[in-house]
Amino acid sequence: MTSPTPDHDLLQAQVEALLRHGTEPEHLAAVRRRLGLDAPPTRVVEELTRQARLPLETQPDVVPTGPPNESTSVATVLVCGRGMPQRLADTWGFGGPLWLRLRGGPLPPGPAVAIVGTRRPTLDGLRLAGRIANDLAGHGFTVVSGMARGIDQAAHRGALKGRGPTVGVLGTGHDIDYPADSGQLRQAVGDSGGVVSEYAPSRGVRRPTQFLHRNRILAGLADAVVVIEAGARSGALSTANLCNDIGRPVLVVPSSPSNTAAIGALGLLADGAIPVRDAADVMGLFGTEIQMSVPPTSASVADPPVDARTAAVLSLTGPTPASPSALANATGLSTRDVLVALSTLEEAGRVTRGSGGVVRIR
Amino acid sequence: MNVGIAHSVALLGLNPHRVRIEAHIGQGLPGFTVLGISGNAGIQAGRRVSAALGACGHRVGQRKVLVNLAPADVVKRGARYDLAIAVAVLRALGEVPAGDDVLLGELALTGQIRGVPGVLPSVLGLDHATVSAQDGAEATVAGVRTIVAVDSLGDYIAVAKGERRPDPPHAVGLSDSPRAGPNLADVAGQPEARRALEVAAAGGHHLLLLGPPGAGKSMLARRLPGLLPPLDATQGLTVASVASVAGRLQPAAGLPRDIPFAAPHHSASAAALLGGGSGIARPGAVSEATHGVLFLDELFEWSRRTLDGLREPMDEGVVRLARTAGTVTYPAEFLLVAASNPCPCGPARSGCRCRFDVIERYRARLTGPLADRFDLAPLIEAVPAAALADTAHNEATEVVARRVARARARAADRGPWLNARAPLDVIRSTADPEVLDVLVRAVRSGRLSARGFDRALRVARTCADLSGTARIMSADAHEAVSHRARLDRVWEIAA
Repeated sequence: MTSPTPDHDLLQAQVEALLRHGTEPEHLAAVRRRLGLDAPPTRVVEELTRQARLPLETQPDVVPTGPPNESTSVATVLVCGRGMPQRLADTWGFGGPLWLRLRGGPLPPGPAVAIVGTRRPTLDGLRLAGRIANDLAGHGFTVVSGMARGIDQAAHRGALKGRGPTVGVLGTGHDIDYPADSGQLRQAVGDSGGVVSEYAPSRGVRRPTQFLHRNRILAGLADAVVVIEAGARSGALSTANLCNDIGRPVLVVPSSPSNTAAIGALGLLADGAIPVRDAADVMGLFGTEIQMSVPPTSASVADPPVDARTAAVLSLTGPTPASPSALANATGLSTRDVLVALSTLEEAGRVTRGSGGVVRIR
Repeated sequence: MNVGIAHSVALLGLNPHRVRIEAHIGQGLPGFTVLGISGNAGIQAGRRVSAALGACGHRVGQRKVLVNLAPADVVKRGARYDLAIAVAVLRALGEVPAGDDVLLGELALTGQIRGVPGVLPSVLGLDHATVSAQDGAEATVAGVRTIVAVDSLGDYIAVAKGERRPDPPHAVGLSDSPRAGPNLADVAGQPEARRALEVAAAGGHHLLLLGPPGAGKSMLARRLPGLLPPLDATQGLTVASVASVAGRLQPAAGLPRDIPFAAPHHSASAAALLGGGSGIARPGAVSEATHGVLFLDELFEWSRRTLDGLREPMDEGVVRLARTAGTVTYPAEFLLVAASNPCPCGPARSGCRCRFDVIERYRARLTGPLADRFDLAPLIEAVPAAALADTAHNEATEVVARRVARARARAADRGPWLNARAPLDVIRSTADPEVLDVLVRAVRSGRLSARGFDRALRVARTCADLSGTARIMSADAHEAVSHRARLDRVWEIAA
């Protein structure tokens, strides 16, 4: 990922001029459709510059006059084949981006794993995303995700907790608070590994497809993608498919078939994605053999014994939310007994209650 | 001096105020003037009474008639004083003997006497009252000893002169037995909601039913009145009084024993819910539901301001309505059952597609003071079609109602309060430190809000009453915490 100093690079200067001019990813897409995906970045930039009626021979030394332009003042522009990470630049032939606006950073070197999933996860999915991201980050892996609510944010937070680098890929401009109230997290991720966006800083949600286009950057920035809970029409599926297209492994954390939040992820498994249980499985793929410190499958030994009724209720809880009514029907216990057992178990930290019902923790 | 005196009753809320009516027939320009009654109601009353008197052969058109309703500072509205005014005039004319009976009725121009709303609370506890024939039964319900129920002013004159005896209105007492409402046996499954209904009925705890559309929230709510003990005579009288003021009482059936059930629609105005209207405020749905169940479906579709108006009645059991004509108080001691979808779209079969901020705003209506007034929030789940047919194992209303009655009897041993409204020290005195510890731990771990603490303790007391123990057990506290689980925590998992 060595690149010439941007100041003396014509391509870099041309792209920055284009961005100042207001060229958008949609223009890039149109030009690439016309020229074909084989056309090299220089040819595409030439065409874009011609369209924008800018001088082809931009003088790198000439500092543009006027007010400080938005595209360079708030973010570093990484250009394909120049400042852009090599593994993302490698996706050029698949429709990869020509430029990226980076805030924070610099983008960390080293292996990177994308963790993506539904915006409406179950408690279990959230915990899995957080834990896997935490463990990966703790072992020097960069966690890449899309800043969306749900699994994405859980992955970012997990990585931050693991004090490892994490990179966010936005589907909007840097100045847009989207998803709402994600500003703090965005700041933290920027300080950690950087936040990138292809869009102008003020670009809001103009069309839903911009998030799908964002996914190609997400896929390109990662060496592998881990899907945790993706619904039947989840955007995470598009990331996984893009990853597959560019020849990078798609990993899926399996879930129960009755978990509707994970239907799409299970479909990926059926199509041949690699199942993973934890961060160790993911890292094993990279040849890093890690013994997980706390194997997640073994029960904690310190749990005090519970009475028979409580045990009956506990044995029926799992990662899929169960309602008190369903537990009462399944155990044959009275509702009172089930409610008492649930509160007792919750007090002991064995289960927790979400919107859909009770989920087992230990 | 030709002054005739008659008595009537003004009604402020459910409170009767004796009104003395003086009629003076004197010299001067002919006219019929009524003083002491608000607005142009006095002019109207004068015209009606004058015509009705003429119809009975007592023309006063060429006389100067002055009528005064006293005391002047009691607000008097409507046509209920017509009969009393006419009788005062007749007494001034010396046509009928003086008397101290209370007269209530509106006069037709032909001299017929029409019924008026609010007879029951007006004549409650009186010895002697004269009402229209159609209000006769209502006056009997009120326990008036001597009732003259007459059809027309002419009949009244005849009765007053002793020319004929009034037809005694047939006496009605407490109606025999409550009507059988919808039965809990019809509801398939929903064990959590069933338990919550039972606890709510036993302790008077307000209930919030959460669940997708079509899962049976309204069905369950409508079965709650059946679990409550039938009204006693005092409660029946209050319920009947409110119905009477609202003009909805059917006195033929006697004093009601059925638990009232009011289910206003969420588009209803604050006045419809809490009471209101111009002049003296009329009772609203909260008063209609007194000693019964108030069911608010689609709770989050109600406007926040309207819902805020529920706070006073929920706390004090009365609703106070201030209007220009005066402040009135109506009883409003109801058991609130609210129902709501978990989100604005109501999770469709494919799952909810609402935006997060929309859901947050939707649920924000519950937070704060109103959420703290609910004690139980069971989740109503859509029951699979196969289970719908299987109602064999479902407990019937009678079975649950018996348990509720037993629990209420145990609560009554501590004092005349439901657990939801009993003084806290009475409840607390039956709780051991371990029980309070359970609740304290729940607050510490964020499973119970600080404000939910006391309410959870009350629910725990009711659970103990249902299992028949004198002290509150730890299990009761755990159950109470579970019942509140959906109220005290953010529903959506924070991402």
